[in-house]
Amino acid sequence: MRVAEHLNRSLHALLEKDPSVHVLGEDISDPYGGAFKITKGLSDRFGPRVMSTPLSEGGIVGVGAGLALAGDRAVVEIMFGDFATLAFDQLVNFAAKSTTMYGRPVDVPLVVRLPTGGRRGYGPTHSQSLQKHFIGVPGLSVYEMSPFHDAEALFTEIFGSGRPAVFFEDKVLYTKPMLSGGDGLHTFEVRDGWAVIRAEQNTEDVLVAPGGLTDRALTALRDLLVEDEIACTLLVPARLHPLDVTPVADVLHAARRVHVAEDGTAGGTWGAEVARLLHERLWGRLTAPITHISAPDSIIPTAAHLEARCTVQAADIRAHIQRAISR
Amino acid sequence: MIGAVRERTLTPVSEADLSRMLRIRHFEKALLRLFEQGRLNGTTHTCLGQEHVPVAVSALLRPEDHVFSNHRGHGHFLARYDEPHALLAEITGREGALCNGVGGSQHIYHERFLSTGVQGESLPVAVGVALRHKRTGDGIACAYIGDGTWGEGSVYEALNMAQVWGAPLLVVVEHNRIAQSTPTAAQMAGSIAGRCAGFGVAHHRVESVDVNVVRAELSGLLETVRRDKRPAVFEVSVHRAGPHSKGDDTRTAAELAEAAAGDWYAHYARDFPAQVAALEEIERAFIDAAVENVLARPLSEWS
Amino acid sequence: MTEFRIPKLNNNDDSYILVEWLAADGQEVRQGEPLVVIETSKTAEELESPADGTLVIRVHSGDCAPGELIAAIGAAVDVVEPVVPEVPPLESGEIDVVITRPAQVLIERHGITLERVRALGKKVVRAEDVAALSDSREIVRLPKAQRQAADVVVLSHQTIPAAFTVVKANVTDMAKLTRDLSKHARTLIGLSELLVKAVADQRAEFPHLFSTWLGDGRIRLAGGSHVGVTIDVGKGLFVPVVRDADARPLDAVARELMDYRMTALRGSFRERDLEGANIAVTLHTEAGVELAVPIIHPGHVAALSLASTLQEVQPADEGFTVRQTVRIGLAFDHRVVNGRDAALFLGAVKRLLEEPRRWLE
Ligand SMILES: Cc1ncc(C[n+]2csc(CCOP(=O)(O)OP(=O)(O)O)c2C)c(N)n1
Ligand SMILES: [Mg+2]
Repeated sequence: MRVAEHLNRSLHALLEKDPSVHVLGEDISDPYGGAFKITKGLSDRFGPRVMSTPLSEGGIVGVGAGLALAGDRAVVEIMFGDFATLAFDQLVNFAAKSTTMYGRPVDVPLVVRLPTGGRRGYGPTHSQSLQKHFIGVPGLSVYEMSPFHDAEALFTEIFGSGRPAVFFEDKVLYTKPMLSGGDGLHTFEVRDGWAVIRAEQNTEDVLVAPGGLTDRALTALRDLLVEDEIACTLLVPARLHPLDVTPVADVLHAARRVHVAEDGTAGGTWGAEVARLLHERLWGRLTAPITHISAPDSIIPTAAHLEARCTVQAADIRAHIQRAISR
Repeated sequence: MIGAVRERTLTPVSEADLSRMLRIRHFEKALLRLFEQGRLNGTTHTCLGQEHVPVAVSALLRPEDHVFSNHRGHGHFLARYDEPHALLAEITGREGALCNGVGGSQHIYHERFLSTGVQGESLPVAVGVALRHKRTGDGIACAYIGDGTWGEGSVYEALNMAQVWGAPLLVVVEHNRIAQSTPTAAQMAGSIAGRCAGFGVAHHRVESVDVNVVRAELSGLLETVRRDKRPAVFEVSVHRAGPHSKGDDTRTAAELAEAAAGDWYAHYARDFPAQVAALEEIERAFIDAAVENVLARPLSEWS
Repeated sequence: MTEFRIPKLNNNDDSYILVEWLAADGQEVRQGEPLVVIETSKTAEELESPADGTLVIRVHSGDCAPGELIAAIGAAVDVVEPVVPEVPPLESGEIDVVITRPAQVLIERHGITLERVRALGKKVVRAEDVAALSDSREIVRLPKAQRQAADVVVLSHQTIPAAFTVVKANVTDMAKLTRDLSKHARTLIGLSELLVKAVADQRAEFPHLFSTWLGDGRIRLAGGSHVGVTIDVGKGLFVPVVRDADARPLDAVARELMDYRMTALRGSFRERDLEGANIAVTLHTEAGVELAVPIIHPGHVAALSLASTLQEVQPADEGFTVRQTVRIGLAFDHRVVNGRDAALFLGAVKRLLEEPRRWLE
């Protein structure tokens, strides 16, 4: 099953099991079913709990927060993750802060889904990965969809936490299959929010990457092993922030080198935050500083040949890891 | 609600206007064809059915005026700048592109023309530019938006500021009764006229596909913008004859038929068949040659 | 034969999923017959056969990309593919062994069968695994001491830019002296013992040769002459250290060296016997060795070598005489000292050995 279909089924299940769940977003109703078809069939089946909205990103996140505050649960789709900036105030100053600023815990069960990333030629205002701008916002969780994680479980986890979350979904990932078990070379194991992908136990190299990079990370892992005889484990967390590495402590403790890859642009990144966290834990064990792989400090151009230069490719991941090893 | 267009007879059209409308149309059709053939990357929004609006507007603009455009901006650009090669090069990432292929279809900055892909974002920017025009005493800012964009808060913040500060800003609303897949009725309460009234902003609506009529109705309003240094909203009723972007039309057969009937092209082909046929041949050939020319160029460079 | 490639089915996906073949591998198919189901992100499409002929499937299932060759259709006879040793495709789910590219190269070069590769019992077969298969000769692991020696010499070669100077010393008059000294001291005092002491005594004049290179153009001077001496009695090479050899008398140095030889025979060196040298003397006194280039121990600046004693015929006033010579080599870290220092140092050592009377003073 494709990731897009999996997300769609997860939303169906969520709406079916919990009558308090609402889904809002621009053009999400049938027959259109959303710009990426993730909401297909929802409005036909669940009627008024699924709402096509005006073009009002800030407004609809506010409405979602209001529903959540009043005891409902809301999933808001922003058509392109780039437009999350239009809802930044509602997310940071209202939804996230409200969980604590009233002197007692206040539940805001709200998921804001953000189709994200480039590699589709949509140009600078429809391609960026804004995860880093949501790291370290008090009260806000940051998730990213991966082909290993069950989306319904993640949505349920977020609702259960009482904290609002931004939920990034790579737009190319939509077209890829969900993954489980293994691919003949690597085994895929999911434990406590992390996917562990490896060909061998306890490799000296470990790559940490959000789910959107899975296809490129897997290609890099395969090439590293098959072409370069370098065994590397891939760790994919579903929750990027706050990041809890305890479930994969064993993998990290066996590592001599850690590499972090992400789609965001260089500077003040999620990967830097991961490196800070891991350097504290692993300082004496690592033989090299943590490698950081991100998109360059650039907007994402439209033309395919330019876009490829400004987005992380499998070959970039492989080259960075090779370089770190040969240092 | 805006009703169907009831025109029966069009006023005689100049060859220049009709040529330009047809040129834009064939440009857009060529894009859709290239997409189907898998030769275009990414996305694009064509202005099929709406070509006459920018052709009507552009004739009234002066070189010093700034134009702000949106996702559906090829016609806005081509009506003002007769540079289809450069625009196509931008969309296909070839040498000679307007912005080196970086911006693509919906992010273009060329002379006094700027477009961006975030709905409503350009309106406050246009107010800023208009304030500059007001100070220097020449020119205005003209911003094209769709009906759906009236959902964005920035539109209201901009209208308010423009009216309070007396910014020479013309907002051209291409009201095609739909935003992507959502009918305007399902996402807009009240009306654009009513909203403008709330801010005391001048508003005028025209329901014609006749390029001369649209232009004539605008010219008085535009004069007040220039002369009195104040904003105005010019709303043109149109029909989106094509998909929102590509292959994503979910309208019913009846809705599609209504849109096709409201297409200016159908009216002109009926009223001026010989003129349309003759000019169409020329424009089609011109665009075909442009496509061939541009696609043979090397890829654009950007550093 | 007709190639069957995946057409571009839409503009969004850079890969599709091959869901299933509707005809079996090797089956006769007709043009236009539905052949395979390809799933895009939006739809599942049946693709038709482009020709009549026998279907030879190249990609059975899983990810596939537009333009990728997934099958060939042709007359049964002409589908002979170039046969390379079969590498299981990485994409498929049921492979049992993955062969790395370097390993694949070796497999082809040595013509190793896939059965033997499989017999390794490894999931991932690397070049080193294949290398073991390609050569039937025994592979032996070196003893620990030699493995450690290997690390030391590699480090030395990698980190110390060494130069080498050699002098020849005439030791004709030495034989009698060493006999006398040995008798007097009641322990063996030979050329080696004299050399160790002669080297140690140079520290006051040549402190840099006993120093340690710290990097950045700095060295740390030594607090004493701690001379490492190579001893190899057939149980591995050891370098025990004669500490403070400049401050102690010759007989004490000689006695300690004798103790070390006994320890070497018993193979029971302690860590502290082997630690703390700042210069080394390596002995190559086996008959016939003319000259040896020593390794500078990492952390040292210099190492000396003593070769065996050779007979040399020399023209004399009327006829000739025979004299005894040895070659003493000095390898030195050229970052710290230059050839001139080396020559002066060797000259001083040589003088001590050539003029036995000095030892008696
Ligand atoms: C801030 C923002 N939200 C959403 C979108 C996605 N989007 C692009 S065009 C469009 C519909 C615009 O409708 P309208 O303003 O009526 O213009 P039309 O397409 O009809 O010309 C939407 C939702 C966007 N580009 N920017
Ligand atoms: Mg519209």
